[in-house]
Amino acid sequence: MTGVVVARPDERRSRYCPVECRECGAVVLAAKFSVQHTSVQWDAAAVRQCTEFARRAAVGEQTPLIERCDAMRASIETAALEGWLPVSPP
Amino acid sequence: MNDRSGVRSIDAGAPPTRFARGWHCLGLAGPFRDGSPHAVEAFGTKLVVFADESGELHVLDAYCRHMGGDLSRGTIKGSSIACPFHDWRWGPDGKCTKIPYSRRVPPTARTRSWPALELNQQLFVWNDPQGSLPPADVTIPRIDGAYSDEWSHWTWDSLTVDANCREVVDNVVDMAHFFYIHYAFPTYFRNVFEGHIAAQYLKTRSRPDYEPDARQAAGTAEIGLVSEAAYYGPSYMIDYLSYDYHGVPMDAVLINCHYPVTPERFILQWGVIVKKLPGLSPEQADKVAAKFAKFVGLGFQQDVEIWTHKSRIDNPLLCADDGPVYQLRRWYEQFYTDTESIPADMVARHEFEVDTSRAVEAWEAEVAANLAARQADTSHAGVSPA
Repeated sequence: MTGVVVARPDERRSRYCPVECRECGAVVLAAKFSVQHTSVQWDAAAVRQCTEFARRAAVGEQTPLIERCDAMRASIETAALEGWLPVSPP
Repeated sequence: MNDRSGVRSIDAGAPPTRFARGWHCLGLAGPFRDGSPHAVEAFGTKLVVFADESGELHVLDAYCRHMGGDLSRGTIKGSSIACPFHDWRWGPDGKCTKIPYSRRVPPTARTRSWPALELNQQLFVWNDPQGSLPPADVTIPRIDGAYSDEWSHWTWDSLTVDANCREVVDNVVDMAHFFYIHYAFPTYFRNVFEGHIAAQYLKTRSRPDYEPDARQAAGTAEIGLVSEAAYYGPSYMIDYLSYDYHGVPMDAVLINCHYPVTPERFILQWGVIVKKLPGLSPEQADKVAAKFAKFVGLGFQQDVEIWTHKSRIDNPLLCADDGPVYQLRRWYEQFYTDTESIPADMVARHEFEVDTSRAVEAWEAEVAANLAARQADTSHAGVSPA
């Protein structure tokens, strides 16, 4: 586990759930209002731990300009499919 | 938020009393190098921009520390700006360099010099209420197309907007307004906020029910537009766009930037370059850029119409299919917070992907209804007796 991630405030009720990446073990908070919607809160430690971000940062990319990590996205989708990341409208 | 009868109230709040820390683009650099000083009203004061003998641009407070003369009405003399009132000379670093009628310059004679940067053929000024110099890791990125013969020249336009500049920044997360205000049809919408960067990934379709003359004239009846836009700091957005131009894939870069004049007024500016299509002359490429810029300008005019009539709202009421307004505003707050007091969550990475499926379904129905109504109008007009 990385440190405690604090989700940014939103007016809408978001049921954030910790999700661990199956690739690198980085932990984020994820929430889903629907199957397509996804909100992901990272902290600095999780960004550092992400192997895809590290690989791309090594060739000069800035992590804020990386649209997503595919492994983390897959881990979140799996969590939703397996039912322990609730898909719930606000 | 809701009163006893269940009515939601608006918290209008108040615009911040300070101005955002960060690089702000003042416009294309070239026009500032015409041999004259230029006045820029920004950050609640007046600035003077002038070019020294080597052509390098400098920014100082406009009001002379001697008797308050306006340096922007003065004259460039060598590498100093001379006040029109008593000819006091001020150098690029803000030090008084000469007082021709006096034997000596007071050692404390120094005015405010603003850090300036020229990049992408544009001039930037650094604002920091704490007075610190710009850190290297928050600089403005270079746009390769701005330095390439394969791209057009910049177009450049501006508008004065009587509202707080947070209104334009809110657009970063506002998926639905693209349909209602800009007559685009978003199908994909995602934001990433991290550090001083706020990115927006957007895909849109064209609107067959809405092809105004201006849009047709602009040749931007695009079939699918892909946009990757990001704010670098509080006010400078680079938007890399790919769209279809009469069946040919086009690449364009759009700058959307602003600087505050007062807490209730800002100058909105935009510029466009396009990649030259094979066989296009530089003049033709500039025309394509101008048409695209005109289309963008129409969009901004529609935004301005909304901004200058709407209420400031600190507590927007959001539905499930809105973007991350609160998260964006939390990111934006960092530029109004002393650097040593920025909490981790203001700058931590946040990703938000809007579910566009319901919106696409609703908008397809709306577009179909508009087309059917237009069809009915046309047929009716066709058979109606004279």
